[in-house]
Amino acid sequence: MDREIDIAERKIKIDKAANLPRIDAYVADQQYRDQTLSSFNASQNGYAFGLLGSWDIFDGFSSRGQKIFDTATLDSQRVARDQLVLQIEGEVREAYTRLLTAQATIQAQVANQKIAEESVKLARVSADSGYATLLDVLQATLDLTASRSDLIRARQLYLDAMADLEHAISLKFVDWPSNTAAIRADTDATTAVPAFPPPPEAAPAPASPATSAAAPTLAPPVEAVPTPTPAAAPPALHP
Amino acid sequence: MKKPLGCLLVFFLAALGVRADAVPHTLTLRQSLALALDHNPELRTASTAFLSAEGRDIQLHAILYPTINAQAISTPLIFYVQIQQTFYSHATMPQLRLSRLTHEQAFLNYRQALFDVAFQVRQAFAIALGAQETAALGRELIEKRQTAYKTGQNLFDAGQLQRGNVLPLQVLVNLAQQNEMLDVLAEQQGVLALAQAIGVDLPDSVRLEGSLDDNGPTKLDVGALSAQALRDRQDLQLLENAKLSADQQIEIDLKNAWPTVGFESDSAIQPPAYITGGTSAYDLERNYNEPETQRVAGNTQLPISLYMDWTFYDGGNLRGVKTAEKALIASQEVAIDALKRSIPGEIASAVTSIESERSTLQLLGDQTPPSDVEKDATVDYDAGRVRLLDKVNLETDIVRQRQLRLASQIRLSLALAALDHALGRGLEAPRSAPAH
Repeated sequence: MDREIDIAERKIKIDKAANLPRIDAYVADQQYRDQTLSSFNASQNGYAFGLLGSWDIFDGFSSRGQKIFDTATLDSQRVARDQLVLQIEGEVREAYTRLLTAQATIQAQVANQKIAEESVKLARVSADSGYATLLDVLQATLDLTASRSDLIRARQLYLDAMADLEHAISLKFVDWPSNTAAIRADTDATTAVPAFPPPPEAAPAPASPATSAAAPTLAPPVEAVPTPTPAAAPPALHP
Repeated sequence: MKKPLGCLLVFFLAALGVRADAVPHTLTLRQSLALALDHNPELRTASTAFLSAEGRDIQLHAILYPTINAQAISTPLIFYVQIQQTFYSHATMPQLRLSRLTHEQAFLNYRQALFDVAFQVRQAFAIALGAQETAALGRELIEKRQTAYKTGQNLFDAGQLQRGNVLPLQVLVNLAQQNEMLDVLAEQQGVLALAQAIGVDLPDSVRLEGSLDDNGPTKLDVGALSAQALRDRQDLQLLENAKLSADQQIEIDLKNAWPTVGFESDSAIQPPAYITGGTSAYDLERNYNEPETQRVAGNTQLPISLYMDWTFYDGGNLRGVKTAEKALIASQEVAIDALKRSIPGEIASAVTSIESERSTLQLLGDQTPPSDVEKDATVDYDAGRVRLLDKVNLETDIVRQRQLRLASQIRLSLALAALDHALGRGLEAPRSAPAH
C-alpha cells in the first residue's frame, strides 16, 4: 500500500510537469533536395545539432484536471491504507481477546469439571443412601456434561483464536524456539494448564501496538501442546 | 425507536453538527454515526470521488478551449507556435453530458456509501449493545448464584446441608462465570465490530448507551415497500447513472467516425540568424516551395487554417470499440435487472424477520413477569417448600427468559435496520461535498 501511495505521488509530479517547458537535445544528418529539381544532385547536405524546446502553454486545463484526478487517487490510496491498518488492528485485537478469554475459560473449566465430577459422585452416594433424589443425580450429571462440553468449546475457541492470531500477525507461534523448547520439555505432560499470557509490554515489539499486544508466548490449551515460556522473546521470527 | 426514518434523519443532522475528534467513554448511536461520518474509510473514499469528478470534469471541458503549444529549435533558431481550436466534434456534447453525469455519480456514490455505513453502524451498535446487556444479565446471574452458594455454604457449615447439595451450587457458579467470560468476549467483539464500522480505534472499556429498536413501522406491505425501494434505492440509481455514462462514453470514443472541424494556426517565427550564409539560415522544416529569395533568416509565417478530420475507414478499430462498450452496457443492464429482482426479496426477508420477532416478543410478553416468578420462588423458599438448588434453577430460568427476550429484541433491531437499508431510506444526504 505504501508503494501504491508512492506511485500516486509520483504521478502527481508527472502531471505537474505537463505544463512546464521541456528541452531535448538532437543531432541530425540532413539532406535537402532542391524541390525544383527531380534529382538530389543539387541537394544541400549538412549536420545539425542543437536543442529542441517544447512547451504546452495551454491545454484547455486538461493537465490541471488530470492532476486533480490523480490527487483524488492519492487520497483514496491513503484512506485505503488507514482502512487496512484499522482492519489489521481489529483482527489482532479480536483474536487476542478471544485467546485470552479461552485461556481463562479453560483454566476455570478444568477446575470446574473436577468439582462437577465430585458432585456427581456425592449425588450418587446420597441417592443410594436415600438422602437425594434421582433428579439430583441427573442434574449433577447434566452439570458435569455442560462443564465438559464447555471445556471442549473453550479449547476449540482457543485453537481458532490462535490460528486467527497467527494469520493476523503472519507469524506461527509453535515455530519459535522458545515454544519448541517448551514443547520438548512438556511432551510428557498430561494435564498442562495453560498459562495466562504475559502483559503486552513483555511481548516482542512488532510494528504496531495492536501486534505488540499479540505476544507469541500464548499457551495452547490442549494437554498435548505445552505452555511456552511466557517472557521469552523469540530470537528469530519465522513469518 | 418510534420512527426510524425521522430518528435517523435527526441522527444524521446531529452528526453533521458534532465534530467527534476524541472517542468518548460512553457512546450513543448518534455519536457513533457522527464518528463514522468523520472517520469511516468507506465514506472517506467516497468523498475523494468528488475531487476525482472535479478533475474529470475539467478534463472533459477541455474540448471547449483552444490548445497552445510552443516549440523552439536551436539550429537554426526557429520558434513554432501552434494554436488549435475545435469548432465542432461529435464528442463535444457527450463530453459535457458525461461531465454532469460524473458529478452526479460521485454524489450518488457518496449517498450510497452513507446509507451503507449508517446501516453497518446501526447493526454493529445493536449487536454491541445487545452483547453488553447480555453480559450484564450474565453478571446478574453470577451474583444470584454466588449468593445462593454462600447461603448453601453457611448451611453446610451449620450442619444443615450436605456437601452433595453444596457442590452443585458451586458448579453452577463456575458455569455462570464461564458464560460470563464468553459474554464479555462477545461484548468486546461487538465493540471491535463497531470500531471497524465507525473507523476509529475504540477502547474495550467504552460503554454503549441507548436502547434497542423494537417498534418500527406498523404497516408492512411488501408490495408497497418494494415499489418505494425501486424508486428510492441509491444503488439502483447509481447503476442507471453508470449506464448513462457508458452511453456517452461510446459517443466520445467513436468521435472519429464523424467529422471534426476546427481552426489551426501553426506559426513559425525565425529570428535573424547569427550565422550568415549557408544552410543554417534556412527554416528546414518548411518553405520548401518558396522562392530562393525568400529563404533568408528572419523569415516568419503566420498561417491560419480551417481543417476537417474525418476517418472513413480504420480497419474496424472503431467498430471493435463500439462492440466492446455495448457489451459493457449490456452487463450493466443485467446488473440493474438483477438488483431490481433482488430488492423485493430483501424487503420480504426483513419484513418476515420483523413480524417473526414481534410475535416472539408478544409471546414472551404474555408470560408471567420474571419479577413475579422470582418473588413467588423466594416466598416458597422462605416457607421451606422448595430447596435452595431448585430456587437457583428457577432464577436461572428467569434470567434465560430475559436473555431470550433480549436476543429477540436484538434480532428485531437488526431486521428494522435491514428494512431501512433495503428501502434505501433513513438518511438525508448532504447537498455539498463533505469536508474529508
